[in-house]
Amino acid sequence: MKLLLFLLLLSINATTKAQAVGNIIQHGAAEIFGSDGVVSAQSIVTNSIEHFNDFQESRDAANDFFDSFNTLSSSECSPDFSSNNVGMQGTCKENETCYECYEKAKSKMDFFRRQLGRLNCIYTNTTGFAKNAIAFGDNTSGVHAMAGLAWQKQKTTINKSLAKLKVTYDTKYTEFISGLKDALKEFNECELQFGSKDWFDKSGFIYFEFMKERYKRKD
Amino acid sequence: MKIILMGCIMAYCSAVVAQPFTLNKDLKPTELIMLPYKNKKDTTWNGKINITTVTQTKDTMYFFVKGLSIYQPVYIGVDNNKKNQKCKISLSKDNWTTPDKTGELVNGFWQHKFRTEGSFGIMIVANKPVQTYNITVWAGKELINRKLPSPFKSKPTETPKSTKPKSKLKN
Repeated sequence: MKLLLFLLLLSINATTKAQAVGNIIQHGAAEIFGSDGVVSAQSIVTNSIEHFNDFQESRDAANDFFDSFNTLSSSECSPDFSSNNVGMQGTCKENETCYECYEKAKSKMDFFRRQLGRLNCIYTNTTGFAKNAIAFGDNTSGVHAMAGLAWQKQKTTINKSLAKLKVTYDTKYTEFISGLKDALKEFNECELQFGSKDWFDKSGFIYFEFMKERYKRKD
Repeated sequence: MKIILMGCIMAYCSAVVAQPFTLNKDLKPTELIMLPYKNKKDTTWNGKINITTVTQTKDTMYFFVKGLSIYQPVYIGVDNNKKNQKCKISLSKDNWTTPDKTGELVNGFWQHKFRTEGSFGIMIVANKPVQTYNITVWAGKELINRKLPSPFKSKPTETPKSTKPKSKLKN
């Protein structure tokens, strides 16, 4: 929150709808597309809509179109699940009568896998952003209108916010990792009904420990 | 519960990293507010959209979009009707001075697609004192239904030895 306030102050109330440097008209979606979803031929944004439609049509039939969306920044963290595969054993997975139970537990597990991946990247990206901001401020505050002393105070605020971010990460990590454990316990119930006994102790536990370590904050 | 957890993370992320960093107090980016978008022909494209018409009277203008998830596909297009007019476009994450993607209008149009978490900034430099153009930003639904690699061992007959599961979301 402090970092937010800092950024807002530093950017001098950044959010403005119109500026002295030009005229900005933000069109409403209903205004553009109309109630029937059709774009008016007279619309000043007709070209924009046509380009967007062309973009939509460029989606290929192979359905892997969305895989080609890379991160904006090459240094930006993106959840990578390829190393999450530790190869758990599961007899229930192959059992038709167990399918419903398995899919329900899998859906829950995948949700927490995604959230852990995202949380980890938010932390990585935010700390990277703050570190870059500090480096930038250190390098430029001496030559900019902002006094060096004022910058030092703001830098302290950033560092305090980073400390708070760590606490937030740990809280969310605990929530998500316990959600993952619940999902694995659901697998255990499925296995108990349709597959093998002690599935969590034999297989799920190893995966859980792996995930716990993988997403634990490293700094 | 899931919605609450998701909401907490998104709110925290967008609060901490609202736009590219700057010490320049004269730099006042305009937020492009994303509005719900429904495609009646193909719901795949449902999400949020912003279409803004800008008449730029200064050499450089700044915009930003916030509230994005790393799982959302994002499209940005910039266009104008006058093909002889040129604009340089920069997209930035951390800092306006170090853009992550740059481009310029070719035949009156430029576009880019990507994913990002939180927000990103758009800087547009015009080559003429007065220039009118449109910015279109679309963010789709989170691609959460795309298959994750299974953490379960597959039967040998199902998975060839040379095939290694790959993340659909890997860079």
